[in-house]
Amino acid sequence: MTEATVAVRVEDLVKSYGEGETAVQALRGVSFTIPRREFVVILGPSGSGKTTLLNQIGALEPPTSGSLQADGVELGGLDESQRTEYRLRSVGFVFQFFNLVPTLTALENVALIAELTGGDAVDRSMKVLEQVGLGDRVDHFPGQLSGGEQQRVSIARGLVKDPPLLLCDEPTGSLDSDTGVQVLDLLRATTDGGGRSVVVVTHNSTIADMADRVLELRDGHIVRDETNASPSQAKDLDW
Amino acid sequence: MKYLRLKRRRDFRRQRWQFLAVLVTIALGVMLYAASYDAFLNLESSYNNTYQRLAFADIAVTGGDSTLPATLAGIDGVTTVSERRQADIPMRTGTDTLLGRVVGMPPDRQPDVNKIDIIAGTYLDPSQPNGVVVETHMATEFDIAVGDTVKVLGGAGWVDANVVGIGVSPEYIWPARSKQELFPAPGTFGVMFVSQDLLKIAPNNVAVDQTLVLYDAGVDRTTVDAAVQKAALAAGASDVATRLEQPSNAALQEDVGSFGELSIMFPVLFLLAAGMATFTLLTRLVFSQRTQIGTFLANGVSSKALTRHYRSYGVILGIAGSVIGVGVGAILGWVITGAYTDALGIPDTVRTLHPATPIVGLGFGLVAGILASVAPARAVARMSPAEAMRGDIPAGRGQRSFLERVVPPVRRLPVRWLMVIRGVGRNKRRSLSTVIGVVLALVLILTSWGMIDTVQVLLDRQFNDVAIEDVTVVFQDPVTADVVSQVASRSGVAVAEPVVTLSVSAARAGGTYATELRGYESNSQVHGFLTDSGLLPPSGILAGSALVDQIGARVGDVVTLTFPQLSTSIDTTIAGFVTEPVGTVLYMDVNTLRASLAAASPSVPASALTPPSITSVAAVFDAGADRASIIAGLKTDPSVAVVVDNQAFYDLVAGFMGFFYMFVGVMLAFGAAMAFSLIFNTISVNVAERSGEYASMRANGLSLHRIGALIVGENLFLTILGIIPGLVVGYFFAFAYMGSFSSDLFSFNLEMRGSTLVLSALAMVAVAALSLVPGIRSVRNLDVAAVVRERSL
Repeated sequence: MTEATVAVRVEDLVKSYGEGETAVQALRGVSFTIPRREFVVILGPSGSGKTTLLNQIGALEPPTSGSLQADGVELGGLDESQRTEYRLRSVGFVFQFFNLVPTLTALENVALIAELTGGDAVDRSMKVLEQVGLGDRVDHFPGQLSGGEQQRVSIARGLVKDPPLLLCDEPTGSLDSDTGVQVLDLLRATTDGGGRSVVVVTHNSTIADMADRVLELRDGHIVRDETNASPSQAKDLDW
Repeated sequence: MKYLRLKRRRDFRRQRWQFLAVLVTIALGVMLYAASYDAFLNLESSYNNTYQRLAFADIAVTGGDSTLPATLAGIDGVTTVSERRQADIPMRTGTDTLLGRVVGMPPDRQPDVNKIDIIAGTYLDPSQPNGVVVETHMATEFDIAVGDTVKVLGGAGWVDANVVGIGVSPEYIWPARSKQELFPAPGTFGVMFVSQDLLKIAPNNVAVDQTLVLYDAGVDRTTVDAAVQKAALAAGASDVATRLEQPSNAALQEDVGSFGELSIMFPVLFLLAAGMATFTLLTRLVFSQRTQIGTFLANGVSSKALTRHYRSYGVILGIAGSVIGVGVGAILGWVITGAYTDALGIPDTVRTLHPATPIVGLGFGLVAGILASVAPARAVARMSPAEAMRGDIPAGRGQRSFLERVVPPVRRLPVRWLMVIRGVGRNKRRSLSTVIGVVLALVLILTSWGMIDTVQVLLDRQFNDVAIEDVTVVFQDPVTADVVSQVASRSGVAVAEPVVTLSVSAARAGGTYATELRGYESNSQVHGFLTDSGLLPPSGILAGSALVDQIGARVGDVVTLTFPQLSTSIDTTIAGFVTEPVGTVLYMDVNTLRASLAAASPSVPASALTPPSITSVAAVFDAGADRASIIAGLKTDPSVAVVVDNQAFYDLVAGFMGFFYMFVGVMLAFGAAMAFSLIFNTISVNVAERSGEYASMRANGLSLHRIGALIVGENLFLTILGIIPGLVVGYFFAFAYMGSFSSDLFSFNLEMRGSTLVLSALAMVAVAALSLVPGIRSVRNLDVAAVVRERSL
């Protein structure tokens, strides 16, 4: 795999929390590569280290040791401001609990981030919201939107910067199955149409069926790294 | 419930600094109340005790015919009537000369009214006809001891008076010459109690007869006052001063009264702030413990028990704060009372613990704590266990801000600006709490700063616009035109003018008011008149504006002026009013005065106005002149009795400003602490509530700098929202507060400088910015990964 086709390269990544006897190793020497335009699902039970791995890729915290390159950048050596810049340019985040600003409308929640990257923030935000199917709900406040709609705003917020990587932490965790399917369809579409890599962390193994690639973590180790030759449609998943 | 109590104890321990801050604020409020209110009551008791022991006159009448004492003795409620004579005459002690006062006393016994508390030496002795008792302030100021000699200027020249004792008089606890001269210039006034025989040396036209009256205990003072006043005026009295109107007591009551007002106003401000700090802290506690609350509810703990549990935080804070406040306040009240009575030389110090004070103090603290905990406790009662356990923050229905609805173009502002504007309405109650906190802080600051501004402006007005003269010279001999010319011709003296000062009572249908009438040249250059023209009117009088309240006089009204020293009266019109900082004096063109008195019945010749006790010379020095040398030259002139240095008086009063600065400094610190506490608490709660949002923004590339700017923007916006009404409310509070000091003695209309408002507003912004630092630091320290992980695992 050439560098041009690699979105994320992880080599012997270790992440520890705490020191001495209370130290916890969340990741114990993890190595893998994520090609561009790939839809990757990271599976694992609670405490397996999957969210920690996602946070490492998103440069939310520095690794303890090992190498982590994303979008051609070695993340291990970045300081806080460089990590912020990396997140702004290269990563979109989607969380289980949407974390929208309740006093801003759907459009404004997206535009808040769009304003940071220049250009016509409102126009770009409108387009992304239309892409996620919320063109007629842009002036609604989060409190006036359903959970699925809020998550779609959250996805639009992640996409508006047009990042090469979209990182999703339990994006369907707070949604019912029908809404979850819609959200997964949307995420899948961002790789197919948008040409970016999407990493979804979940403990719902059913979602793995729609992934191009499945990584399974247990106790900080990758115990499974499989490529799915014929991913399923979200609507075909057996929730 | 034992374990809820255990939880509460550990909550207190875990957030000890925040709880301590609230506790201290409640304790401070209650302490201020307990200390100042108890001191206020104790001071009143101390005065009353002294007044009762020394038989301080319930009413003092000046002038009146010989039938007056018997008439007054016959009035219901009057127990004792005492007569005496007093005169203001030059005195000399060592190298100092002053225009002092001699008060006649029975030589063989203490008088029945206005006794003297002898603190050194003895009372008068008939065997020493020239023996005198020196009033304690005079003894201290001029370093006079028993056995010393003081010279007094009689009609036939200087006479030696031997000091046999030093005493305290209930009339001169505050050594005021008159209500118009509450603050005699340093070294220009003193009182000596002398035998009636010695008093005979005083010229008749400077001596006045007085009748002092004591009432039965428990009588209705107002009724007896009215009866005495009526009888005294009917007998030709020129002045009737009730106990409240007598100069020393009037000054002291102003002072004690302000103590009483402070004892309520400042504690109320503090308790309001404490209540809001408690409210914010408990809201934060309930928010941070919502998952625990949900779990308790899910496990069968009743919402009533939980409501009670969270309300108990406020109750405990209220009780603990007020118990500490009451305890410390009682001690402080004790200390203040002693320090105050010592400083003023009040002979009796009464220190009593008034049971109502601690009870009310405890009530204040408790009510503040309970009221502040009602809303957070109700929030617990309304919590849904399922929602609470999820830890979700109810998003509520977002909405556009009021500003955007009123001014739609605002909607086109960058989203981060909209976020700032809407953040204010996100939690209205909390925002309101911060706004009120800023308003209260500004009230505290402006009230005290307004006091400084007012005093400074009024001092400046009094000494630069009204009393322009550098010195007033009192002579031993009649003040003729030659005498005035001699002063004017001295090197360094720019102008000298004669000034006639007469005791007078102004009467019309609305009542009688005893004061001074001062006659100046019509184009006087030694005194300023605060009228449009700045000149004295050619006819009629200018009067201090308090005369409106005193006798209901209006411009154009005719008033009768009675002069006890001259035994005559004139009718004249009120040509205008002047609002001067100190006193309520009447002014008349000296030539008009001479003519009016000549035309009066009985007529008074112009020569009757020349005695030194009536006419003095006021002089203004050349710019840059050597003041000390001119004053020294005047003092060495054998014909000069007293030189009153106006600048020395200004310096004395200006020296008191140090106390004011300290007072305002403390109030500024309290106000800043109050605002800091509230803004800090609000932002802490906001950051805690929005940690998910901030974490999400940071994850999506928003820098700390930008998030910090959002927080700063929102809270500064909130602060500015508080500053605007705060300046208005603070101004009016200061206005009302200063107005409460205004009387015929002082005119304390608020004079607030524009710079004070600007600086106060900037101070609030600075405090707000400072209080944001911990909040921004907490966002900086926000572990984004941890927040995300905790919410997702």
